[in-house]
Amino acid sequence: MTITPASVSLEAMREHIVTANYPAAADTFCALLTDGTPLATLVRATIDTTAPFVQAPAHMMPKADGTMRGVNYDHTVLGWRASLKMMPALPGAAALLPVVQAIWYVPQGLDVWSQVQCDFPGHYARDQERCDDRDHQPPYDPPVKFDGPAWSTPRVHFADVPPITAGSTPARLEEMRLAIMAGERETSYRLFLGLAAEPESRTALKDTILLAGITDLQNTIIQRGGYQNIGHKALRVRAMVDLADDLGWESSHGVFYTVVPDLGCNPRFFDTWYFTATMMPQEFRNWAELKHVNQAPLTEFELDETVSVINWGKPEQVSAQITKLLRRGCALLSIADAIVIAFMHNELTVMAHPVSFFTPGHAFDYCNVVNHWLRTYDNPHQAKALYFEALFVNDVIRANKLFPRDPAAEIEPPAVHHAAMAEKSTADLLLALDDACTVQDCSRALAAVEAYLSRTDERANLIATLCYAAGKVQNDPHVERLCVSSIEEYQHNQTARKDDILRGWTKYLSRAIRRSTALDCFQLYQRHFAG
Amino acid sequence: MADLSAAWTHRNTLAEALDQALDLLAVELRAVSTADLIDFLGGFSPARSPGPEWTATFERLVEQLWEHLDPAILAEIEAAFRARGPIWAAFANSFTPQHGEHLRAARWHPGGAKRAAIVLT
Repeated sequence: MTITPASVSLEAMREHIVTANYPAAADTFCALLTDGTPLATLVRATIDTTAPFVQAPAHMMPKADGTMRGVNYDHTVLGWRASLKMMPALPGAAALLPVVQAIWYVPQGLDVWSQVQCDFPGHYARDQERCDDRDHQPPYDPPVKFDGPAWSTPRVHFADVPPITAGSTPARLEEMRLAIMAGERETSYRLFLGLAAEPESRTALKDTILLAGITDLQNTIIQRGGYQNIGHKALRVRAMVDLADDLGWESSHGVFYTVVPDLGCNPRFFDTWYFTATMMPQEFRNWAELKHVNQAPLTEFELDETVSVINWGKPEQVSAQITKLLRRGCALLSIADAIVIAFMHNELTVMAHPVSFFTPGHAFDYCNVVNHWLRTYDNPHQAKALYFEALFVNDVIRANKLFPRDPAAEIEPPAVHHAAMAEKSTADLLLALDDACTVQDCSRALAAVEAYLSRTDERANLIATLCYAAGKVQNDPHVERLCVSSIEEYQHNQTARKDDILRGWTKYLSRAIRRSTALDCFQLYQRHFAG
Repeated sequence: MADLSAAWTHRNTLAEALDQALDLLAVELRAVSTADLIDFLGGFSPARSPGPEWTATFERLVEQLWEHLDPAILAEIEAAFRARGPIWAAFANSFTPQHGEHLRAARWHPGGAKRAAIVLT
């Protein structure tokens, strides 16, 4: 389809989105941006358009054999949040590359419930379910293509509802949190809408809704099939809060509609929440004040010990380690930094198979949400969140261990490239890094980043290079989300090992499995913005 | 100082125990049939494994197999897992001649030591 000036309008873009015509939607978005439509207007219009179509009745479908078929969470909102957060890290027109990726993805990510049933086109139907290869029920005539465009409208699985405004702010906040835990989707969403309209309640609302997202976390993914959420509730709340902050809370109804009703969706997991709620008062009389009382940084020995326990211990040992550090008076953020370093240790020294990065990447992003919450808000429950993130990281590490390592998937030692990297200037190292990440030559990428880190303290250009390389990856908001988590954790991590976050990010980009290696979206970006 | 002595004695006792365990394992590996070996290895798959810590020792077992078994038996094992399809690739690829060569090249046997270095976990 050719986009002509006459066909460039917000209305046309909306039509392309709901018909899952992603090349036309992205092309129109870019044309509108070039014509001067403000980016915030376009993002808001897009989210408002998709909000009714990104809900799911649940995130699992019970199957006759007793297993649960997992139903993917909406990722459109994650792409928007990540792309806007990446913009400051990229120079000039390159700042728009992640945004183009976000709109390229959006029409492919609607009505996931129908996609996994081969009843609506999109990337889940096309790539994950391989619906084009199946005999479809019901039969379609003429035959349809699951790459789109759509032959019907996406389904609305949750109708919008009016706000609830009666009651005191503290009472409504607690009622909202409990309604989310109980799966009362309509009530929780209505309470949220009422509170969101009150600027004086905003900080408390953000704090509470983040708590609600963070506490919904499976206690293990090991042998659970689709019965898990790998932190998506927290990831989505963080995206919502950031987007509303960026776009304005007064005009973010679509963002709220996209995220809040989903928080009460099944499955919901509160085992770890109840574990910490029971255990912490037994261990600490002042559990609610630990954030203010505990101020000591971890020693290098404690950091090593934490890395070791999270990487090699069992869940009960991980909990005991967090308790030990808290009892010694270690600061919550210092422990949180150590958990991130423990994750990086595994990513750098253990993960090798491209698939082995996928779920752990979610755990790292979840840590970023928790750590952001710890850094930004003041909530008596925050010490509990350290157990959540440490146990989640330990669990994904143990889940990977359940699969024997494949010798054919080992990574060539980066040392084979050291001599070649030694001859490059720092500018050329960044070019080599970009290229190695783009073609997923992990060994060369790790050698390039190591040479760069050892030669200079400059990091902004390195981060920009990694963002640019990530920005070429299409159909996959995970990649951009991990960029933002990496940047933020790198900026805040207080350990001497913070460069491991950049090494881990490099390894993820150059090794983790991708949904696509095509560069159509990157080429679209180049046509519109890169001359 | 007394604690250090006790710790070192403990280390030596465990080293002796591990030494005996590996000798015993070598005997058992040589005695068992190929079919039983394949069945035992299958116990490291996600569905049959008692847990992650058990499966995580798979590579250590593979090292012992390459140390003590005839390459022809290992080729049989590779073929058996290869025939099961792509999800068993990690098992099959652990018994290719190339991987055996890689393990032999990586082996470190310090002068004066009874056996090559052992990776524990």
